[in-house]
Amino acid sequence: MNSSKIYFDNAATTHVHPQVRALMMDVLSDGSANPSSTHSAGMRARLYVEKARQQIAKSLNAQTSRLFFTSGGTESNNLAIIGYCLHNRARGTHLITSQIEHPSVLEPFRWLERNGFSVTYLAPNKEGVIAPADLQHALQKDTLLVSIMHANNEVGSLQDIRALGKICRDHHVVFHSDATQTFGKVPMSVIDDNVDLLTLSSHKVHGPKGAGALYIKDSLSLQPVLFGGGQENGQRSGTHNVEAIAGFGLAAEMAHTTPRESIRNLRQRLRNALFDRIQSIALNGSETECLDNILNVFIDGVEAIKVLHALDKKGIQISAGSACSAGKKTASHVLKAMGFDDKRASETLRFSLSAYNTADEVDRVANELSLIVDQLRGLQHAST
Amino acid sequence: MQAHENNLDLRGIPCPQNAAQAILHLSTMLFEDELVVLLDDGEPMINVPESLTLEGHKILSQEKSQDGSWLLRVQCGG
Repeated sequence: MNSSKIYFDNAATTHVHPQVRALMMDVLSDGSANPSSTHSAGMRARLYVEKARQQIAKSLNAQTSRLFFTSGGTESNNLAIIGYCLHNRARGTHLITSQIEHPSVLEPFRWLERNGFSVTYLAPNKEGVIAPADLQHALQKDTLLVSIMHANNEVGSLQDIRALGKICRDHHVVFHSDATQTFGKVPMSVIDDNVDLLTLSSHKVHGPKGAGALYIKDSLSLQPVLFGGGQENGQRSGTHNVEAIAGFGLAAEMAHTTPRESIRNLRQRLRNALFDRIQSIALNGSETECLDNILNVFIDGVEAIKVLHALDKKGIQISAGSACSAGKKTASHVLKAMGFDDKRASETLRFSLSAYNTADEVDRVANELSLIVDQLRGLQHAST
Repeated sequence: MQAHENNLDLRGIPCPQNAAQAILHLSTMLFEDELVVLLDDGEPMINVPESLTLEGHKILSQEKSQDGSWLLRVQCGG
């Protein structure tokens, strides 16, 4: 067994970049006061928070003051959806989202359904893409909010949020997008992309866990979902996680200056190698409208969970689905929405790369995986 | 916050976020350059000048506008 580990599960989370880790250690020494305190020690901490706000806002072409720090993507999604709908329910109670959203989007919508709202769940096509025309048809006079993720966390399908956002803008409907998987990977401008609410996460871009943000367009008002000391201009109470926020800021800045070409090439190299070596393999998702770091494949007749454990023993870490659903026995709601059955969902693997993976790692993964697939298929033939 | 060259509108930004944003803005400026800061009345007009002075910057003048906000002229301390 090769002793070096290969981590191809970067859509679940990424390793904290060494420079980010070093900054966070500095903050723990230098910025450990409460950033809401007005004394000089508090100001040291506050400067880390505000610098991070500037770094992140700049990467989105957003007003600095409209970026609100949260504990992560889940909280940002809850705040955006529940906060906006509760504060503005007099304007309408019809909501639109997609069937392939992350549970931190779907569950707030289900909660709102139990509390007097109606929700239309748009179906994707076979490649996991939401058609803008379907959104256009689903809009009603009382539609209050549309929430469509920028890219899917399981299959990597990329949505045309600019077109979706324009439809919403033309109909005076607020548009939220969960950019957890795309922030730092796909260039974005909240103005050009017609986005009113945007969810961001730190730990998908080599920042620490425990930090996220929500961009809120300046004309919008949201009901807070956390009450307390009134931090973040009253939008999100709770003492700032200064070291995580500082790390998030630096990670965001670094992500936006990291060339993507190498990741695209690695994904293509992995795709070609797997499809060359393994019979009865198919892509889940789109060949063209996809994130450049996620490859989701179906390998007929081979249980994904067995492959995952076999690869793990070889020091290779991938996912049999999204990390959040990996511990659940239910089949992927994303693959089901794309029209695939439970069998296909249970025979699906997700590889998610980062800028720090290498071509050698890709070749080793392809080699080990093809051997494991042959072995598992051989065992099946032997037992039948 | 709206930053246009050496003007910074911090009205509506609570303490100490306003002071931190002014300090970060000044950190991009040259020694002895001037920054004009718009501030809300009340606590911001106490905290922000104090924090900027503590960071080595010089308050050149402070002038109250008709709408009750303040116009602070600050010289960058480098």
